[in-house]
Amino acid sequence: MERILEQTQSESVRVFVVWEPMLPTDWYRPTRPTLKRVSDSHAVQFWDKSHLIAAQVKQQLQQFHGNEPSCCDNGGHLWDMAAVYPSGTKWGETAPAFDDGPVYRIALTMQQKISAMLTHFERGRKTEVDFINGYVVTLGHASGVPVHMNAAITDLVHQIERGVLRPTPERMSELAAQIAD
Amino acid sequence: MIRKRALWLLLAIAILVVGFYLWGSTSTPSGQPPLVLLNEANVSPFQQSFNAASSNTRIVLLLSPT
Repeated sequence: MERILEQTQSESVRVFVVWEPMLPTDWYRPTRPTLKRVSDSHAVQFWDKSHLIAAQVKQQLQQFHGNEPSCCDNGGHLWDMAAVYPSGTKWGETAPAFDDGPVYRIALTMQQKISAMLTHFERGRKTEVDFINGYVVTLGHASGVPVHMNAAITDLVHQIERGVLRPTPERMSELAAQIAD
Repeated sequence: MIRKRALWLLLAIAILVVGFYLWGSTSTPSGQPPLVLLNEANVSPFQQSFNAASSNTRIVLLLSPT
C-alpha cells in the first residue's frame, strides 16, 4: 500500500483504513505497530468493531452493481478488501469503481486503476495522450490507415483535460457508442 | 542484593515501556489524525472524512489488525 501511494503521487489519493475484528486475536483496537503499516500522512485510520463500513460497502455493491461482492466475504463481513472510489463522488451515492482482494494480491491491479493519467486529470495537468494514441493517429493519417478508435480516445482525453468532460465510467459507454457509429 | 533488586526493577520498567509501546498505544503515524473509533451511534466521522476528500481518488481498505 505504501508503494502504491508513492507511485501514484499520493497527494491525489486518500486512503481510509478501516480496521475490523475478524480473527480471534483481534480483541482490541489496532495498536501502534499495526497503525504504522500505513504510515502515509494522507491516510486516515478507523477502528470499526461492529463492521459498519464493511456492511455499507456491501450494500453499495448490491444496490448499484446489483450483485454480491466478488470476493472477501468472510462470515457475512467484507474483509481484506480494497475499494476504489473516483473523485467527485460522495459516500453512499455510488459503489466503488473497483473492488477486490485480498489486498496484498491486488495491489498491482489497483495501482493500474489509479493510473497516472487519472492523476494528471485530477491535478489539471496535460496527459501524455498525444505521445501515445495521438502519435498513432498522426501515423495513421500519414499512411492512410483508419485509426478511429485512437482518434476518439485522443479527442476524449483532450476534452477531459480542458474540463469539458469529467473522467467518469460513463465516458467508456460514450466512447463505445462513438466507435460503433 | 540492592544491585540485584535494581536490575529487576529496571527490567520490569523496560517490559512496561515495551508493552505500552506495542499494545497500550494507539497513536497513528505522524501527519495522520488520531485513530477514529466508529460505533453504531456514530459512523459520521468516516462519511465526513470521505466526503471532505471528494476531489481525490479514495481507497477504502477493510483490514483486520492481526
